[in-house]
Amino acid sequence: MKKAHGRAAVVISAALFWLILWECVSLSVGSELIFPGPVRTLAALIGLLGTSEFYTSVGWTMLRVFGGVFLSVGLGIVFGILSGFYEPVRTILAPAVSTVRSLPVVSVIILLNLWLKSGVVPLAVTFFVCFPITWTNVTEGILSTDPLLVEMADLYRVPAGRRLRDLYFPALRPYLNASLMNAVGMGWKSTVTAEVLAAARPSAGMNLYYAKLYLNTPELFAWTVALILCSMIVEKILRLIIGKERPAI
Amino acid sequence: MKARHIYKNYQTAAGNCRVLSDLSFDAGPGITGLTGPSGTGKTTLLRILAGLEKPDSGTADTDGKKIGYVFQEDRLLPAVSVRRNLEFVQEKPDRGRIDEVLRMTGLTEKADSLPDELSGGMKRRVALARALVSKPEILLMDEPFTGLDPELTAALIADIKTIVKENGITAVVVSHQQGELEALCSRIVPLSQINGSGEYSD
Repeated sequence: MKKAHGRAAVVISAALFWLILWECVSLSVGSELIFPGPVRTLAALIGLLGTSEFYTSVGWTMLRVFGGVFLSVGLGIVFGILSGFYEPVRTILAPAVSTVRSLPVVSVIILLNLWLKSGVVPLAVTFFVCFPITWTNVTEGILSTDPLLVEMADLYRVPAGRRLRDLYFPALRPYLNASLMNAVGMGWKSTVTAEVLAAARPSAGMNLYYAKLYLNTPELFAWTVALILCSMIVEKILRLIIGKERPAI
Repeated sequence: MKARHIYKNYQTAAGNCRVLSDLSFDAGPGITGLTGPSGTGKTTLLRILAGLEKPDSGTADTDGKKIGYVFQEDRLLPAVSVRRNLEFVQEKPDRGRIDEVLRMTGLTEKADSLPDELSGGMKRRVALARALVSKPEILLMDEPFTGLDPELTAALIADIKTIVKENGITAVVVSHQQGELEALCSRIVPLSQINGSGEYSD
């Protein structure tokens, strides 16, 4: 109990330190237009929370994040499993995945913007950013499954479904958890970036852009804080569901 | 179960290594022990009999009989219970048979435990139970008592003898411990006698 109180005190102290530093920088800059402080940002955030546009925009952004993440994780699992089991599938997919992974996100966004509706671009971008993470993790998970257990399953001619359930999925679990957490983290960043570059509406990204365009810096900060909070809440919920700490990448 | 004129070579860093040479071997109901120093091909022969490895030439024939294999390592699925470890190798899930084998191997109390929660001796029992759960006609055991203390080994030997006798199983056990084989097997075959030019017939 004492330890928990101590930990809470450390966390609150750290938060206060950064808030005070933020206020000091803001005061030294001396212009809300360039660098608003935490109080002004909070006021702007409260103002945003009172508008229906805020919830619509955040809702659409979340939909794109989760749409992209679940599409990429779902297909990443399917193709990752196939690639883990069948070398030809792996050989075919590896260069494509490697290319997509090396592409700058901006290139992906601009290219997809040529072919897709602006509202769909962020979702597609998130898919292209997150799919390689899941595919790689699942493929590696399958390949690193204990070969002695695989040989045992071969000896007893264990059917594929049962192998996946009892042998591969437990071995894959840490890899899947890691890829899901990474995909959600990357998903937020790529979705909001794509929303701005593809002018997707309604979206949190475009509100961020408009705030900058109209020199409403406190609102720009408020949107940024709102997005950070949303990302943290989603990550927390995901961790609760997964029940594991984020493994090392 | 029979093996005829088996040859098996391995490529090693030092070059070609011949492990089995013109080996022929028959085994019938009861427990046959294969003995010999390390590296003489005991495990290789067992793996060939199980179909896990192919000989370079020669044939190993188990007449399509169902095989149970106790590996040198436990090879238990770490994330699922003892019961699910047994269910994993069954052709069709059969709870009745699992309960029967759990009783036979003294594991009823441990059915819902994870392998990591078991002692070394219990894990070996699970490995044995898994080999038995599909009602094998042939039971192959590779160093089944590795890492067990003498008391546990003696208990397991008594259990295996009973199970093999009651179920009319043809069993082949590999061990480099002569004492274990003498206590367990109805006949013991030194691999050196059948590897090369020799032949052993049951």
